[in-house]
Amino acid sequence: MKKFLLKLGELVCVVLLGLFIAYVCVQDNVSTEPFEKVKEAVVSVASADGLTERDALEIKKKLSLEGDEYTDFLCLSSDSVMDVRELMIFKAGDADAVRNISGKIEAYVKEKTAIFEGYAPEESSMLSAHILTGKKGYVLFYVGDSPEAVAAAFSQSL
Amino acid sequence: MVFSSAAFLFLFLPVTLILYFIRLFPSNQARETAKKNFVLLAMSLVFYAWGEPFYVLLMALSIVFNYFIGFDIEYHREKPKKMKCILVFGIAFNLISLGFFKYSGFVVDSINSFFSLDIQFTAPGLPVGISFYTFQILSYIVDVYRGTVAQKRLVPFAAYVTMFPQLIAGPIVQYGDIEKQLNERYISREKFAAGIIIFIKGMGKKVLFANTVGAFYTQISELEITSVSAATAWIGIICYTLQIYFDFSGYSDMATGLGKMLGFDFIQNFNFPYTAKSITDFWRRWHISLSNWFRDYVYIPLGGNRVGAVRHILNILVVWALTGMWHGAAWNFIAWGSLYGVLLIVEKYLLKNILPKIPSVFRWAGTMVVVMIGWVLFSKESFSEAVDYIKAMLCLSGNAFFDSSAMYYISTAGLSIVIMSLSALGYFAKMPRIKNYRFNVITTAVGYTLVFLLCVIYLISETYNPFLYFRF
Repeated sequence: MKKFLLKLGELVCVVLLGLFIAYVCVQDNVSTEPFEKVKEAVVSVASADGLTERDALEIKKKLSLEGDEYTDFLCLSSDSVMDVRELMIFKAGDADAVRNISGKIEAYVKEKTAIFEGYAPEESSMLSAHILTGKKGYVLFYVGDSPEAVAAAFSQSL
Repeated sequence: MVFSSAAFLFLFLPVTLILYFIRLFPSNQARETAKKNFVLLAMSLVFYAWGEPFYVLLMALSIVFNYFIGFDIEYHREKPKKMKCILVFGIAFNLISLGFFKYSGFVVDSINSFFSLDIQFTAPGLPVGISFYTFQILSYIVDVYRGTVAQKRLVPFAAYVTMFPQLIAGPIVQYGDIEKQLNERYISREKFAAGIIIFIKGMGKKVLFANTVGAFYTQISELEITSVSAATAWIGIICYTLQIYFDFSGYSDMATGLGKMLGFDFIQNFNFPYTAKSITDFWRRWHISLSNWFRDYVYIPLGGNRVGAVRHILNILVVWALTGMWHGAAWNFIAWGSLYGVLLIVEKYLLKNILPKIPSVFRWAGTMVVVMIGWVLFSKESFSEAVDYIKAMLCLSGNAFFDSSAMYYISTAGLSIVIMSLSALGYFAKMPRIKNYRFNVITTAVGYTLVFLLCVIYLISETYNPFLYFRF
């Protein structure tokens, strides 16, 4: 009986490892959709009026992200320091890169929230309702109106 | 979670220590140890899940499977062939798990590159600490097979694998080394205090030393390598050499200190490696727990040095290529490991009689140059980047030997480099001490409190800064 239970336990573990690997493969699968298509889908529903497109240098300043840490990107933000609206899309490459970028954006949001907290309540609540999601090799960061719609458009485009 | 973070220092650690040491009702020593093991396991899972909630499942699966394997091997003790089959099955499971999460992307990329194919594959994220805990688990099942250890209870075994002080970046603790402590351990005030001192020492190494020189290395490595003077390139790699030592040995000290506070004695992982006067000596002093692991579970089973010269050379090469691969799934790590394999063979077979005749200062200098060139291979993302950097160090990329940027780095980083080098070479540790117990107690307490406060000030002003060895 003990022998049977041991074998059963080992077998169950092997099956579970197989399932785990299969899940990771599906989950971490990178989208083959072109960046431009994802970008268009997201921008069309985001409140991006008046936002200016930023370059890689600006990304480096904001997030300490080097150019070789992502393959493509879009960064839109306001020229006004009191306007917290922002949209970033990164084509990261793999799951590790997605986590790396997401981590740096999290730190950026934390820093920015600390600036507005207790001083600009509207901006602060908009910041706290931000969307940060990493899927299929892409990262989306959005602060603005209708965040759920933007997140849905992002997911559908991948 | 990182040891040198506010969340760890002011939330996780105090809560863990309170839960670990609190006695809710009178109990005997055995029950108390069982409770401590349970708290240790629970808090270690929280520690891991803090940054990697998803991969806790993988680690749990691995623990349960290997617990069964240990039992199964023990159950078939009288049937050697059957026992061996179970061991091979267990090793295969662990290596498949490690191989998929750490090496699958590298293997597919290499196949694509060698055979000009275009196999689409997304490398999975690397679970933090997978190399460390897989090696600990492997050592456990091999030791069970050898009949040197056995654990019949799941909680102590799981606590051993997940033990948060050494879960993420070692040292690699072999089960046999802490088996007795898992079943019975005593924590005196002196031991706890010694643990705090070692922990703060490690934090100082990381926060005050490694991060400082690391910033200089980052600046230099961001320069266009073809325009960097040889002197700047050497300053850069000296900074990295100091950074990786203080970073990793700092982490090991913190792990050892935490271990002591919880009643465990881990093996020493570093013994002033930069005082080594040969490559063999260097690897007896650097990441000792990894060298021991490869010696006990790969080198000796392959025959070690008790075989013919050709087989011995092959054994060394295999062990060092694997050591390189353990560090990372990239060709530069394999080249780095293999370089050490070749150098050890040269030392053992060609320089065996010559080395002792060379003045020790030259042997030390030669060893350090080789080690620093090794760190170039280690620090760069790709093999070609490493080659470009070495060319700059040797003035082979058409660059100047000395320029204004080298002067700038000498003036800004020079003092830090000198102080840290003296520390890495053990000069401060060798300084004579005043033989006055009370004076020593007071200066130690004041000194380490200051180091701790300084570290906290740095941590508050800094952003997330993980340890270099986290990526393994």
